[in-house]
Amino acid sequence: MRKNLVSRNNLISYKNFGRKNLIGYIFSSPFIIFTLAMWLYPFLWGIVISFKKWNLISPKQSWVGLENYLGVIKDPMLWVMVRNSIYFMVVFITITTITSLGLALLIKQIPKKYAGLYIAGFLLSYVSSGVAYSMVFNLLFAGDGLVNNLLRIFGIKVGWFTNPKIAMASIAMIVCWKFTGYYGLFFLAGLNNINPTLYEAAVIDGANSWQRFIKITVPLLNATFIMIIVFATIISFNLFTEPYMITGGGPMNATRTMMLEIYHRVFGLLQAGYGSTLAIVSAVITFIFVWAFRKLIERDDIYE
Amino acid sequence: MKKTLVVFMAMALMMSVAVISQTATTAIEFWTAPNPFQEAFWSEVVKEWNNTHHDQQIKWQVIPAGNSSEEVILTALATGTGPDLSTNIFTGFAAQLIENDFLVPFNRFDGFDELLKARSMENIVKNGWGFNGNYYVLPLYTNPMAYWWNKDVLDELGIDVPKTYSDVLNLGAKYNNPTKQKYTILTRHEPNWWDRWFDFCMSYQANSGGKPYWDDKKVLFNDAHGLKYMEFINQLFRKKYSPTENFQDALQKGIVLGSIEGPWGINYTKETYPEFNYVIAPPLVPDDYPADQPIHTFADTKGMVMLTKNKQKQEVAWNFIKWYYSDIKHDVKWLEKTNMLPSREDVLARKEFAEYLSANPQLAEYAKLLPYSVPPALNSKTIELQTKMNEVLWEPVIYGKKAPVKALNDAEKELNKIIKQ
Repeated sequence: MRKNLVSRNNLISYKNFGRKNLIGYIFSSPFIIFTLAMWLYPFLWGIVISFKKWNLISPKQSWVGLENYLGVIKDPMLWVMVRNSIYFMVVFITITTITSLGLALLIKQIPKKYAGLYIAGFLLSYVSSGVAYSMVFNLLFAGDGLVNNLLRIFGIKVGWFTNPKIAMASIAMIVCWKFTGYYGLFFLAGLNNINPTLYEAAVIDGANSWQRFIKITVPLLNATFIMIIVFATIISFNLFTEPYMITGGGPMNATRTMMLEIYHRVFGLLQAGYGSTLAIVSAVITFIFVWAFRKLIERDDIYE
Repeated sequence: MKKTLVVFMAMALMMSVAVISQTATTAIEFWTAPNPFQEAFWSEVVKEWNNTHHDQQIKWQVIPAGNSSEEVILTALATGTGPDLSTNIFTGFAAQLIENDFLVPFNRFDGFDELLKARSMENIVKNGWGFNGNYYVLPLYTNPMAYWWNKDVLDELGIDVPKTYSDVLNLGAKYNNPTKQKYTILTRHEPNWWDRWFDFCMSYQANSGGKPYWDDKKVLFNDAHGLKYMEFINQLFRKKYSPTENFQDALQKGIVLGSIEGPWGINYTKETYPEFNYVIAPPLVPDDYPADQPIHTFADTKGMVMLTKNKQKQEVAWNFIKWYYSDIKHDVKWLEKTNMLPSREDVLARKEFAEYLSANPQLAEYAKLLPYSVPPALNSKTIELQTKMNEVLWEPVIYGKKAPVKALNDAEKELNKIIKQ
């Protein structure tokens, strides 16, 4: 009798559980369907194509095994693109971290009722069209653009996008302009989470503002740093709009990125198989970098 | 009574269905080049067609924005959103589309030969636009490329319009001053594949008497003609006679004295820089180029292709093509609106064009180059070849990373690999 009761109770709870689950699935179904259709299907299809030779528009798709993978790994352009991405990453992460943290520290000093206005202003660059601002920067940094015309007063002339040594740094600066406000918001949230009593205690102990910044602010922003570095690393390997619009990957392949090459291979040269392979290799490289960064700087032994 | 009514209604319904099906409209998607002057032209032409052909409508739009028309069209075809009829197609791209079975040969339609004769383009089409014995592209316009030179500055310096490489180097020695933003000549340095048409291919054709720079079997440009030109380019950049920075309208603003330009720049220059005074001249040649020989140039020439496999739509497209190409007034209007020369053998001979050309002396200079204008060398891998050419030949020389001889040898090797794939 008791056994029967237990099993009946279990049945009822299973039924409830099943019904609850069903309702949950119904509510989340738009997202699940969207993810399956727009992410999982293309992802799996991309993997399949990477083992094929297909020109994107022909019904003929032949299996080529690992030929595309060997082609990508043997292609010297892969290493040129990895080098370019690392160059971009170093400049982008360095400058953006400094500017966005600086911005967050400045906004923290502003009375709260005005802070929102400043944040909104800085976020405008993040929501503006990549194509539009790329065109504007291209004109600003042209040989006879505003920046070079100002520099000419001091006898300086810079080929911002035409000198192979600095073209990628120039692109990185534009992307910094875009992301400074957005990342600044993350830092601001991180700063707001730091317990003010820590600073009060440090002041009592005689710590100056630099010491407080290095010993309290920076370590306690570790999670924000990690998040921004992970985002920035992904951006570095996914860079497309700015080099596409401004340099086309030149000069001397100095701004050629993985995404640019994937687009060029697939839609310019109709090498869909090779392009898919490159996309997968690019994802693996991005993952390795993100993993390495996390291993290097992620810390669990912060004070609080 | 009821039965009679039902029968009457059924008959009425059947009749109306029959009438509707007889007058059913077939609409085709038509894409044209994203150029404001061409846009204005096609807008009027399509409107005229649609007003007079109610059952055969054309949905016209410019090719959507993108890095190149070719990329946009390929992307559209890959996603099944491509046009039924399109302009702005060059021979190499057409060959790529033909190999993938996207184009419909025009010579299978009734009245093809008559149409070629009616538009006076039989020789043009049959010598350079054929592919495996079929004709998939009907040329629309031919833009010979030429140099523009700043006449006022040349007159001030007392120097004639440069004709040879030495003329340019001598001019540079007298005039060039990069610190004051005064350069001698603008040589393209952007990595876009099509830019190599206007800098390398044009000059190779000029030096070699119109020889193609490659065919469908191998590269042909690694010879004395190619070497002379690349050595000239090397000198230009080593001496900083050509800028590597980007300038907008460098010629019109007086930053450079000479630049390679197409006729599409005439109207723009007239409107934006009305004071700018310039001379149009054929491409530069080496000093030992025979004086009695004509100088060839590259022809930026594009045509119209049919992409629809639907028979009804093909009929509409062919009717539109016949209507457009067989009436000279369309070509006259094209010339007036776009300032680009229609691909006809009789442009210089017909009185319909004479009036416009005499009123537009700059375009008349381009028209004189028509008999020596050579279309792009036919190869279905043009985009890949010119992308690689930029990587292994053009940029290494202009940035001083390779000697011209080595760059040409490397380019021949790498490009032949692509051709033979």
